[in-house]
Amino acid sequence: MERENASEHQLPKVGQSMYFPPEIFTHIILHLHEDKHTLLQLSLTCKYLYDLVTPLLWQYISLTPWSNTYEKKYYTTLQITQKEYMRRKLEDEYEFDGSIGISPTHIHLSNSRLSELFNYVNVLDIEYHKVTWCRSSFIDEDEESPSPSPSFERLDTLHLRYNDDQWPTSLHPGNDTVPCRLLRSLRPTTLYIHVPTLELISRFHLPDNILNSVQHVILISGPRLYAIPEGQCGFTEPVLEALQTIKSLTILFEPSAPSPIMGKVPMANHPSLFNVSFISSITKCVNIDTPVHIVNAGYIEKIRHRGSTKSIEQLHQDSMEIIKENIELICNDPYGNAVNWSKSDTQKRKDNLIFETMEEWIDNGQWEGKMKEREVMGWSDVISKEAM
Amino acid sequence: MSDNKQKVILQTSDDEQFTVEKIVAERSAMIKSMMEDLGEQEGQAIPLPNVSSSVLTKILEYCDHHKNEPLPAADSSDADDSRRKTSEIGEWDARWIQVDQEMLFEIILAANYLDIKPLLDVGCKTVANMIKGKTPEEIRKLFNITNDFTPEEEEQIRKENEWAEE
Repeated sequence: MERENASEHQLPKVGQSMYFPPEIFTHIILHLHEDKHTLLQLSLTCKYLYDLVTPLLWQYISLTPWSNTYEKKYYTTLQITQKEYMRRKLEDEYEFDGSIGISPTHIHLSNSRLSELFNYVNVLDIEYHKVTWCRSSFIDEDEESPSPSPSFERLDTLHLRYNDDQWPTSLHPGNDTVPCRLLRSLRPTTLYIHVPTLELISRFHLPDNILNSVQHVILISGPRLYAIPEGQCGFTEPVLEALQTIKSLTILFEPSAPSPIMGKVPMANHPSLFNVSFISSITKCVNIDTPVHIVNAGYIEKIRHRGSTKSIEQLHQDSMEIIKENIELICNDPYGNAVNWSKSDTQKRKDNLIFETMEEWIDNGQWEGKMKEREVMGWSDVISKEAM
Repeated sequence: MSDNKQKVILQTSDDEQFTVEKIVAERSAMIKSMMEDLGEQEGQAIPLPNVSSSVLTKILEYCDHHKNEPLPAADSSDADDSRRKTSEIGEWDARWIQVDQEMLFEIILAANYLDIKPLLDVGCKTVANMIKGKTPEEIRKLFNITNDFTPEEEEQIRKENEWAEE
């Protein structure tokens, strides 16, 4: 925003005339950017504030299966397994709240105003859910001929979530489900995906339009990824190809989704608590100039709680060292995937590896509010609560 | 350094003159750049036609309290910065900003005019907290806003945003 020349600016008298100049309202509103309810109330006060607030209201939308209380309750009753129950509990306790979302049925609305509003969307947060909107019969019941998916002209970030450990088959690019048609119309530059397990990674698949447009990839991983075979990162060919051209790769290790076998992890004092093999293999997949961020979002703290006696700083340092060592080892990969890097190339790869805490990552501007603030903060809450 | 003890004269909209330490006045990026423009012309008052003496008195309190803190980078885009650094309002600031609503609004306008980013931030955060949980009608009252929607338009907006409500 251009700052106006202060001396030319006529200030209205407060209490007599009603408005602050736009830049002040913009400033006030920014402090409410996560509070959609309050923003909505603001937008209902007058046309001036409506115009100011609306782009912000629509900047971040999430498509979730529980867009209203009824659906949320319904969804809760579906949670039968212990694991799912724990996940819900996390969500409830830490207010990781899917309820601020647009119902997926809205994306069918032919309302032209809605298509206009979709063009304010910068961040689209999609939660796959097999029972509701992602099921393959979803369209047939509601509409005779499905309307084309809206294009989100200004979309820059796509965040895909799925509860399953496996890549949902109804998200496979060829299908004609609502989410598939939606995904086929998106061209995000930043992609957040969850890669909790090897099963998911090996089946992970997205339509070409997304693989081609994406420049920054953030893989959100956790404690369960360690069971990955040496020398592999597990992605399929099309995904690997896409990885070669991206401009940055982030692997974010967060502590949620606790695995039942976590308690048995024998390596609480192991030099690196990260999946070194996965990290070095994926480093191999990206271009030599691409920075690779490894972000510890409370993950180390969680493992330490499981029995390590080392300090967090020490674990941090050790992890970094061993990951770099492993990068070097790739050259003599005993599993037949050896790469022929020169000494300087190897050094460059090592230099492009950036090890950060969540706070550092956010401060370095890599995050840009593209995930819900309380979700990110929630991760550290999980830790501190567990550690007590 | 003797430099710190240097004084500068500020003249408010109601023609009152304030003599303040340079280091205090420099909290305002606007005054700072004016001082640089004026150079060594000693004793020349800097006119602040948009700030009354009562508001300036209040603001100088703030500037004096924070005079030894580093100035925010001049080129930092305020929108992004304020969003990421939305920490709580400091204890002293919170107490200091407990003023009546008219004064609060005047402080914000003056902070904007004088270009004191941290102060603008504190003020806007305070107002944002005041808005939270209020109905549109209560917000209109707060800012003295006239409702220019027809009932149909209002209904339409509620509809297009119904997902934002629980």
